[in-house]
Amino acid sequence: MNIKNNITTIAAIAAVVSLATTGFIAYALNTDKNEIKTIKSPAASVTEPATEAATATVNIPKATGRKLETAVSSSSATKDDIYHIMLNSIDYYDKVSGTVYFPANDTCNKIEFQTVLSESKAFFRHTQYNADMSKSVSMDAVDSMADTNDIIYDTEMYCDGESSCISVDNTEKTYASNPGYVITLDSVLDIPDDERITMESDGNPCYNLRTNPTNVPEASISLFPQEMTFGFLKNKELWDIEGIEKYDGKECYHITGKTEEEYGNKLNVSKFDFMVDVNTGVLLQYMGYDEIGNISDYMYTDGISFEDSAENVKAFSENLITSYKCMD
Amino acid sequence: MKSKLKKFVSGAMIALTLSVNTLSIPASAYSATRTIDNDSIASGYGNTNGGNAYSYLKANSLYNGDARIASSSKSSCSYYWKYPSMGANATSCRCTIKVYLNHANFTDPSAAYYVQLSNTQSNRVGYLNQEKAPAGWISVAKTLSPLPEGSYYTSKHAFVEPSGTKGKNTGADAIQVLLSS
Repeated sequence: MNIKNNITTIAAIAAVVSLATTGFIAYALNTDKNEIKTIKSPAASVTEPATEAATATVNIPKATGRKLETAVSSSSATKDDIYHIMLNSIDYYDKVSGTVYFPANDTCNKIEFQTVLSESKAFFRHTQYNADMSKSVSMDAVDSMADTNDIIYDTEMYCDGESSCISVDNTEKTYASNPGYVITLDSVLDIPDDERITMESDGNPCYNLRTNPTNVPEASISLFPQEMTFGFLKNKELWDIEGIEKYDGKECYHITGKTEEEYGNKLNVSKFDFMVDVNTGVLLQYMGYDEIGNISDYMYTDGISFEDSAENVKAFSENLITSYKCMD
Repeated sequence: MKSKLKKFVSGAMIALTLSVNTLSIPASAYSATRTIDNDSIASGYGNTNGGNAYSYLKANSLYNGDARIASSSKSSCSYYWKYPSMGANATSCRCTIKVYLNHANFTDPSAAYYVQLSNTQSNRVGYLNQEKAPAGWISVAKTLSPLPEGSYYTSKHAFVEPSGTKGKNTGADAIQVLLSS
């Protein structure tokens, strides 16, 4: 009887250890291989019905064949779900194209891009226009400024899947290769939600970002908005989900909120307004308002398209730089 | 019978424990960290102010009260943090950088951070939106395989490269570089 009890106890312990080991090994192997995360967020697991959770990992776009995460149903998404998807948006799309606009003092930046994460192929053109932000009291005014032809900066970057990319400066008429520039998808590490913000020994917070494999740095404000997600959404008491609205033909979470004092002072933004694509966590529009309600900061997008709808990545051609000077 | 069973069970447990220890804990043959502040006085290391583009900045919010700042339009002018050599014989490595950002004038929308991994090549670990980052340390990491030199890596500096955007500023304060394999 005693032996039986001992065996039962030991068997139970062994089973628990074995299960924990399997899970731990699976996690370790997953981490080591840097595979794309296939585990739903804890919040999503709790709120989603089993049938929806079961389909969550079956999202394989024809264009690339890479297995993608599927977002939780927008009708039941929690703040934690939105926070999670925005911090991990690169798991929800592979091929994307479009245009992103954001300001820099009295100028407007325009980023036209195409990228395929699984192939490390990307193209972007970054142009900057003179634009007087003091007149930007409405979205229309911002729109009209971005249409100006007064270009002060014009660069392009071509990444064809190799480690080196070619940058072209149309303003200076120069070009150069950039070794070590590409960030591949398999170099991206997963970070559990509860390890995204940690405390350092000096008492300061540390915000842990996943590196960005879009290879379109200037569009990360939209495509992989980790910094803004931390800055605006980490305090979940300060924002609300107003509802689901369309932006540029896509279903979006309409989020409104107030900024924390330190972050708001830094950006001169008291209140903000987000439009977040429900399927990918991509930030399609951001409006920041100062204390008296004027637009003091913004980012908006045009024609963001995913997977089969996205444009192909523009390829580099020697013809583009025939009269340009090589800077290598 | 009782003793045989006990031996079998304890043997199985030892085997299980060993398998846990050997399989679940990835081997980490090498790990080293360097923390470097801007300017040599604070960090003890000799940094490089690329193109002499980075002016000196003082503020209580900054790490040790000071930092360097340059126009983000100067994309060819990088700020280099230099440190005693790190490196190992390996075919892959994990690079982590932690950057201290806490000043309203650090506004580069995509400052690129590189870590030197061979005598001829540095690799981009990631890029950060300095303007939209909340105050504190910002960490970004990547794994690298294959390495530029194939079977080893060696590192003596990291640097930040401004994005090229006009009307913004790139900040360079303290940085921590961690390499492991």
